Amino acid sequence: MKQSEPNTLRRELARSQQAGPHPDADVLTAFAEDALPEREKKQLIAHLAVCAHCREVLSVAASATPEPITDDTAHVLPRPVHPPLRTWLPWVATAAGVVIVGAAVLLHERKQEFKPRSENNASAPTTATVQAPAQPDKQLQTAIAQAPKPVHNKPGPAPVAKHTESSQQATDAVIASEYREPSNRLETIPQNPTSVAGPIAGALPAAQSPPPPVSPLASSRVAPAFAMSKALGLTEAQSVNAVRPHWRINSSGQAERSVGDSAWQPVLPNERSKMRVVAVFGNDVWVGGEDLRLYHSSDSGTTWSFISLPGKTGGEHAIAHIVFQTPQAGTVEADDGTSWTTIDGGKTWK
Amino acid sequence: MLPEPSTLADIPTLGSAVSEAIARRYNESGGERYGITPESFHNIVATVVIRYAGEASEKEQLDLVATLHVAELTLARACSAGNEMAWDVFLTRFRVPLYESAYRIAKDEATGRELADGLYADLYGMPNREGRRISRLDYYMGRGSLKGWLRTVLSQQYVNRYRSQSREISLDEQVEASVSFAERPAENVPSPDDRVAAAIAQTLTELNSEERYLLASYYLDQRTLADIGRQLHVHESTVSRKLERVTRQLRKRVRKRLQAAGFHPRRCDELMQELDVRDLNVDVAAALRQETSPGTFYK
Repeated sequence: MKQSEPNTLRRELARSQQAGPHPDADVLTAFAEDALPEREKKQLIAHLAVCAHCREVLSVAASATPEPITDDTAHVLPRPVHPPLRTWLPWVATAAGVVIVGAAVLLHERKQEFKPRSENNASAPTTATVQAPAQPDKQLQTAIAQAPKPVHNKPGPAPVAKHTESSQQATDAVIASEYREPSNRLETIPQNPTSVAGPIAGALPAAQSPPPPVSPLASSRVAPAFAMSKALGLTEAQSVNAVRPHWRINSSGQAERSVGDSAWQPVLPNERSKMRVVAVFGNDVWVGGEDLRLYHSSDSGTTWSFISLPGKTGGEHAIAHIVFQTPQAGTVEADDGTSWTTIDGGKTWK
Repeated sequence: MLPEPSTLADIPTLGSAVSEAIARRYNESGGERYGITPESFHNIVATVVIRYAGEASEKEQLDLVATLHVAELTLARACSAGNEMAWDVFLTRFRVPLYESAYRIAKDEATGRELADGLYADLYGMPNREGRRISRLDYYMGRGSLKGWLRTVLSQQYVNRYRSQSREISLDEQVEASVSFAERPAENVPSPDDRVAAAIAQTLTELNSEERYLLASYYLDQRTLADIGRQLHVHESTVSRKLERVTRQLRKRVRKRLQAAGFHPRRCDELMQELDVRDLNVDVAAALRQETSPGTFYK
């Protein structure tokens, strides 16, 4: 029913408009100011329902009200003067608290993340000599080889040179420091680049010659993305996004990697079981799949090691989830709900 | 001519609790400034209590005493008694709001000034037959704020004035204003509308007063939902929901009545569907003539 159209309802309503004596101005004012007791309010509404005159008076008076609340009527309609501010203030305070707590938690996590990496860095040169050299990643080698070498005027002490036992190890360690991911560089690389450039300049071969083989553990601390970005002359932020390896499980169940714009390459070509999940934490990559097959690479997929999960054979189960909170601590879960947790980067599982 | 307000001699006695409550409010009334004694103040407030809650319970009387605007009530009485200081206070606090309200109501400066001047003269008072000056302020009872009361009185005067003027418009002026004069439909010709109208009229009597007030405000007065909400001190969405519920129930009951009157259910549906379109031919003006017509007082 439209408000503006005449109709039977309006006609019958008009016919019912037979009001008695009108209420005085005091009662109408009290009604307008919501100060009438319930009994009188009902009586007045009953009158208003049949009295167009009083409805009109109330409406005209309401249209002349200058401001919603004045000091004179404040006790009649006790409403806050600034309700929006009072309403939003607690929410703003809560939001600020959440932001502060969230920032504190993030900082704490970042701190925890850096600790184990620093320990690894310290022990890297000694353990690097024990492990057999792995096949270097061709793409990374090319990128490093093509990288323009900086000109260094002042040789300076290498920050990790005291941990090395041979020049080759020193080179590996320094390269590891030089090409570490941006987040780690802040801890290990001095602010003045020339302080670490001297040994590099001395240790590195000529720009055209291929780079020395990188040991697996040393390469684990090398960030290929950052290395390639230097080679391409990109800024730090651009380069990390541009050349950071991308990972996927293809339709055949093979784990694949793509660096930059390069084509997808299988990283576990000999694996027959279908992979299901891939998890990346910095340079650490974890790939899991059917028959509880779990692989780990600590160098962004250059080298891989098979991880045997204790207490259960593969059978018909598969790894369904891989979650790492830090490079060292994480959980692997099978599709039947069984889970394994490590706190040492996958060396031991519980 | 205004009727004279009740005199103090008419005031019956109140309960001791109410009298004590009145006495407790004397200090905040500021009556002492205007030479109003506690006894006079008691009589002023007792008049109000008797007028509005004379038959009510003691609790209601106490509530009324507690909610009265006693400071403005004593100011009004002091003004009507000719107290100079009270008039100074009144002019300082209420003269500007009075004229502002009049301008807002009239939406025209000349009319607004005329309206406010008229009320101002009434407030000052006119001598009656016995030579006693009767001020309009004698009728202020302190139930609402004095500013609100002045607005209401201005609105009453404006509505009465406009209505009286509209009645005095000559036929020539109406012709000049291009007012069309449609032939009035015969009132007692039976038609299918009558049965629908009877069903609606009967159903309307079953509604409570608030529901009828909503329907009348919305469909008769053409008020907006926001206007109605302001008057009832509820949000307009609440008014909308209530209106929707009332009209839905109304249609349901009317349909039921039509069925009871012998209409086939299918015919009932047709009637209900055709209701708005067919009613465009109904002469609503005749029905609305008795009190006022929607939009009369809006320019």
